[in-house]
Amino acid sequence: MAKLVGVAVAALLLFAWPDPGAAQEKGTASVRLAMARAMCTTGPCAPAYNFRTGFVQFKKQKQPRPLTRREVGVLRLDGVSSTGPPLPTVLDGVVSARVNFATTDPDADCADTGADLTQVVATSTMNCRTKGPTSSSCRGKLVLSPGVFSDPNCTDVQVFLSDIVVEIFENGGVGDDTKKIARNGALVIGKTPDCNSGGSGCP
Amino acid sequence: MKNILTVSLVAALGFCIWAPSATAQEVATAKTRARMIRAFCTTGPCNPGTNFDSGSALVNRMRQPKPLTKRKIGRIRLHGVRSTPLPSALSAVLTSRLVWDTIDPDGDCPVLGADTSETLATGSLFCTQQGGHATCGGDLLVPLGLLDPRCTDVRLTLHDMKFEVYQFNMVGNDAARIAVDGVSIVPQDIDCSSGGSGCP
Repeated sequence: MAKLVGVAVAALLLFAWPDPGAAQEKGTASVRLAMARAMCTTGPCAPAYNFRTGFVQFKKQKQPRPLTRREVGVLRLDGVSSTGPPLPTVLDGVVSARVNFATTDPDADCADTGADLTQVVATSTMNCRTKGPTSSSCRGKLVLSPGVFSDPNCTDVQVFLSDIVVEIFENGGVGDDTKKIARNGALVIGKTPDCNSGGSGCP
Repeated sequence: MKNILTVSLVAALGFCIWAPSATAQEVATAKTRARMIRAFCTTGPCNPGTNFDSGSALVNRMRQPKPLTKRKIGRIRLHGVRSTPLPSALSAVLTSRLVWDTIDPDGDCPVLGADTSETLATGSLFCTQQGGHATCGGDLLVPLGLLDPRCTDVRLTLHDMKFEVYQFNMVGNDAARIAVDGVSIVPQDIDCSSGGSGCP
């Protein structure tokens, strides 16, 4: 009897324990990342341009949508201003990420099964509209780069994107840090006086 | 008199409309909402015994001195967590690159101009069990001592934010990692080269 109970418990545990290779079964919902000014404080950037707010949004994706509809999200910068050159009419956005293909392919014909790559996954040409004399608003669709998720043999393989980096450059300046305007992140505004000098709201 | 008034009015209007371009971003960024995906069980280390359906990580809009006083800068949640036994708590960590501005009005901030990667926040996710799975959630809190009161007047930019969820009290142990932020694209049953639905 004790043996039977032992076997039953073992069997129960075996089936209750998630399969290590089992994939997350739901696609992630839409992602919204805020944009912060590229490292003008300590690194190279496009010093002449600034902006007020910005964000990138990725839509929820489910195969075979990335293969059939290449638009995967939107990119936006508002209140773009300049300290010298004319306001931009076009900006370029680039999204790079670590792309991780699952190791399970039902019909074993996907060449990327198990691949783990860091690459540019999407780009955007952002068109700017002038909003008053000193600022403009730039937005564009985020479109998958050629060759990314374009293999019809791989639409039955789960894909994970992590370490997502979104960057916005002056038109034609992709990859040139001195033309980089924004990068995904967060900005924490300072408040004067500081908490060491009796600033309001301080402990 | 009328001329003087007109000139003054035009000058005032002109000054209001043509504000010189600021050299720094003036508005705190809106909230960031990332999604959680299963840690690299496909090609790297992870906790193979725990899976989940979905998850999200949120970083609120921040303005000083809130990160110093309230310490809560966001929250993180996992839904449909499955493991044997179900967890009662998990641990979360947010790491980030912290870039401090080079301008400090009173010149007393010791990290002025610094650019470092730090643990920006940690959190405990408490789980409630429903049926055969659990929902786990908790706040992300800035560690005590990370932010200096002398630096609340200095602009801080956060880049490369990375959210991770581990088994409880096992932060940093790759074999206990359950989730990271990212995007998961769900596959179809039959691929497009074999006549899958919705294919071109």
